[in-house]
Amino acid sequence: MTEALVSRSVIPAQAAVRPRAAGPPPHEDHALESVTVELGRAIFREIPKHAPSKISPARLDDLMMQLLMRDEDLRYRMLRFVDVYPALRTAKALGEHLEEFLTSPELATVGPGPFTALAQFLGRSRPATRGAIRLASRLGISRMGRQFIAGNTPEEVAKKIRRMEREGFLFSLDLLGEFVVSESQADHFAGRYLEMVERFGSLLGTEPSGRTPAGPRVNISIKLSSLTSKFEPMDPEGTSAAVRERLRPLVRAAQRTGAFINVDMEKYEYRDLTLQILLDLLDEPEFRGFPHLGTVHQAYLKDALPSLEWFLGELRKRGQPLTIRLVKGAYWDSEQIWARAKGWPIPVIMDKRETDASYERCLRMLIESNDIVRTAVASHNVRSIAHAMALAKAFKVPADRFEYQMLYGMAGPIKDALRAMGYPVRIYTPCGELLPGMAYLVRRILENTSNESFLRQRFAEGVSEEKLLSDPKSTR
Amino acid sequence: MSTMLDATPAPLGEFRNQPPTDFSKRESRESFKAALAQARAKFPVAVPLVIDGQRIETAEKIDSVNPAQFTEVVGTSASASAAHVDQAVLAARAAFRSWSRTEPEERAGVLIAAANLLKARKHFFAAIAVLESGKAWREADADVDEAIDFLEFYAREMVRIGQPRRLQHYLLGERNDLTYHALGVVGVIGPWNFPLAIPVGMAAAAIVAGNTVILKPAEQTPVITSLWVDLMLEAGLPPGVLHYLPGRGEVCGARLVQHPDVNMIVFTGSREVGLHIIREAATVRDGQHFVKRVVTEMGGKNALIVDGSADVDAAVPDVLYSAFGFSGQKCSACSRVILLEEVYDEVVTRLKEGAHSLKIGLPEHPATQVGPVIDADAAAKVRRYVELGRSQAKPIHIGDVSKYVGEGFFVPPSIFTVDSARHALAQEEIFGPVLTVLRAKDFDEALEIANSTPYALTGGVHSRTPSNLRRAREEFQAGNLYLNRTITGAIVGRQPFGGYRLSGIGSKAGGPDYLRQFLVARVATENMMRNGVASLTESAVQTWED
Repeated sequence: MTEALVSRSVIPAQAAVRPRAAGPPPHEDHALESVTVELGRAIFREIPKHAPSKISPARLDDLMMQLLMRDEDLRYRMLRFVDVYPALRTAKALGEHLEEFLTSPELATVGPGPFTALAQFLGRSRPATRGAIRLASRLGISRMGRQFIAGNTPEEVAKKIRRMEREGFLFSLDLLGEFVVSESQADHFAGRYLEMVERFGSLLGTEPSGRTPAGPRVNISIKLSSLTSKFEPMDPEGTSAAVRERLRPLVRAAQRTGAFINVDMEKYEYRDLTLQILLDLLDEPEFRGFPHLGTVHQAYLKDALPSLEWFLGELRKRGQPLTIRLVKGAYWDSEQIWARAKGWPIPVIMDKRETDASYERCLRMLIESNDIVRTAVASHNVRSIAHAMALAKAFKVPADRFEYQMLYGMAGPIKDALRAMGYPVRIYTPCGELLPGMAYLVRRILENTSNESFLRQRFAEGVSEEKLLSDPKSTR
Repeated sequence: MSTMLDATPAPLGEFRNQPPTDFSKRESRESFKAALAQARAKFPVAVPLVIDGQRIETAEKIDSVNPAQFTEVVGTSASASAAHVDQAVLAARAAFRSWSRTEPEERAGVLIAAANLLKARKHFFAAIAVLESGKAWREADADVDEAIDFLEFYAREMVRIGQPRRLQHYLLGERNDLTYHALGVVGVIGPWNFPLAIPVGMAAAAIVAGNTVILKPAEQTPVITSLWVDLMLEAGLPPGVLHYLPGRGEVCGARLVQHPDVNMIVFTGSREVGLHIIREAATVRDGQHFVKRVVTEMGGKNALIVDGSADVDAAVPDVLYSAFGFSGQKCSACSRVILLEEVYDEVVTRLKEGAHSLKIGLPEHPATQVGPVIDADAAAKVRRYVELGRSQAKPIHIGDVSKYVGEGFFVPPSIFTVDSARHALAQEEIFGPVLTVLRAKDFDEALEIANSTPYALTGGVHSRTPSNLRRAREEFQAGNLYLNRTITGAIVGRQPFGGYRLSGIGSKAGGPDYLRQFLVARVATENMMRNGVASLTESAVQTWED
């Protein structure tokens, strides 16, 4: 590595990490628990002040989601239709597919739901009616797409983000795109990322004043599997070398322009390799100590805690500061299906409350290490959020070592409530074309309409506050 | 007879596939690397004939070389003569009487014991497959998994089929018993492309059904199969039941096929040899008291259709893997991709870029996606088709293998487009990393093109249109049809495997009908009534379910 080529960062790298949290000895669990519930109630009191008005577009989307939640058969058919939708190039193809998806017996996996007969009647009805459904579906899916995907071009996205910033939110940009199987696609992705890191700041223009201090303004989330034609856990050394080849220019650009890069987490099979590549990069002299990097930890994995412990140990060995976004995980359904197909142990925790409990254990481990890691609490679950707040209080975590993250287009009232309460809230904002964005969109709809979803339980089913705020570590 | 066979075998649990190795785990990768070194330390492995448990060396030797580095000799095998075949048939005939009368549960017990030994040595066997047949890690791992699955699956199948079956048992005056019996001596002729799984599947099925077996491996891969023969004897198989005759097809293979005391030939390999075997087996020779049974699996010209509603992100990697995995040397490999007009340009561009990014190299390196082909003949054949493509089709991609050709049997992974489904590149089996792209104006034409070859082995469709998938199920001529996935990698019990038309005759391997090919059914009917007195006891024998 030629030292002369190392670019100068405009943000001085913090070589030394903060001294380890001296914080109080871990609070008595019941004390922590009561603070959690108290904070949770405070959030719930705040939420109604930010509920969408009855006639807003967001309200319409909620209604559509609610319809899907109540009819498992229709939900399955619609998810399959949403999946194929962007590939349908003509109105004719669209109409034919909608009819097929509503009526095909092959898709009846769970037995008819309350709306099946109606949907099938409409699906088979006169062309005029079909035309109306076509239009509705076209608008509906584009609408759903727009709800979760901020835009296609950087300019479009910048506009949305400026608005978010004016409202007091932070952002992390995620580029949706094709599944990478060739080096030219990987080059293309790396180029788009680089453009974002280098140009997005200037595209945004002047920063609104009074922003919560939470690191660099431009924050880009990247997926390492899009930086090589072959992300191969079987060949960690080769994959790491190939990925770092395309990652270096991005991190150099981040050093130069003062941006933040977050390495996102994907399926379980990729986890260890993703973390290893990040460590390999940090072992290169030019990146050593660079503080504006982050990654993700998925609490729904059965080995979430030991993996986190190992990773924190690796960071500590290197004295390397980092931001860790703690999520529950977005591939819960897929992980189970993949593992079953291969006869491997299922890597994800099957029980939702146990996942929530795992999340809280990981949170505590992160907060205990707040001298070396910044924690990003990425959850829409008020109990998890309140617990993080309680832990942060108990350990006297400095305000700039902590932030909350939520997804674009989801949990609006919760975001607003947190922001109004003065917490830093970062919005994970996907952008890109609808076509490659469908997988993302389907994951979001699955999440919003799943039986176990916090948002569903709270806003569609009216589960009580007390129940929603109860300690997941306690028995039901 | 070993003590193992005297013990009452425990009832077998439900069949479950052997899980593939999870190479994202460090310990798995280290274990595999260690196995490669351990295998190499034994080179060259001496491969004798095994007749009646005796290991026999011959003057003539056949070298088995690493196709990726042909200076490396993996093993040196003996070469059986026609006289060795006669000797083995005699021994097999002698052992048949007691083996065929051994209880099905006991025979199954030997297969289970062998499966357990194989599980314990899985990476070692896979390492041999990497070095002897040029398979990448995952492919080699899958080869051993499939062998384990065949042992476990056929063991359970035999226990199921071996249950005595009373027909129409409500009749009081008549008793009808249907029972299955072994055929006799079975000749098994294996291929090199699944050098463990396929010979093991064919031989294990014959053995567990109560037959005695003479196994002739492919000339290119005698080492791995010989290690399995040793393992079967270690598992407690009586020595007379399985004889191992590596050698030349035209010598010992030919004698095995013609031998008047061999009841059945099971073969996987080329169409040319398969059809020759069928002709030879039809001739009844002096002293032969039966019609020979023949089961052959002979290849294909498998097509994958991508329609306008397909998820191109999923279709492209599936086509690339199906076409170029193990250098296209699977009978199930994709050699034609049929693209609907709406997606033609996009898919061709992405296939080209994807093929350009394939990692060519030594299969023992975990990054390698495309390794060598099996031998010089195979390489020459593939090159002929690549030349044909250059001169009489439009090349989309021709890989660069110049770095490797001096050391191993490397050929360029290639993609060509052709205008007619009658083109040689769209009709003839190449058995190498050559993919032919065809264009269809609609789904009807796509199916027509797919069905336009004399083969019917595997096929696939990438589509999100339910009616197209429904039509494919009905009209696509393929023994194994794969929808929205790769078209290789059939799994025992889940995707029973085999084709029809010129792809072969016989029931699907790894499926519920396979074992019956190795059995004859007999029915005994007894009149149970004398002077109005019949057996009044309700039969306790369960009716059979298929």
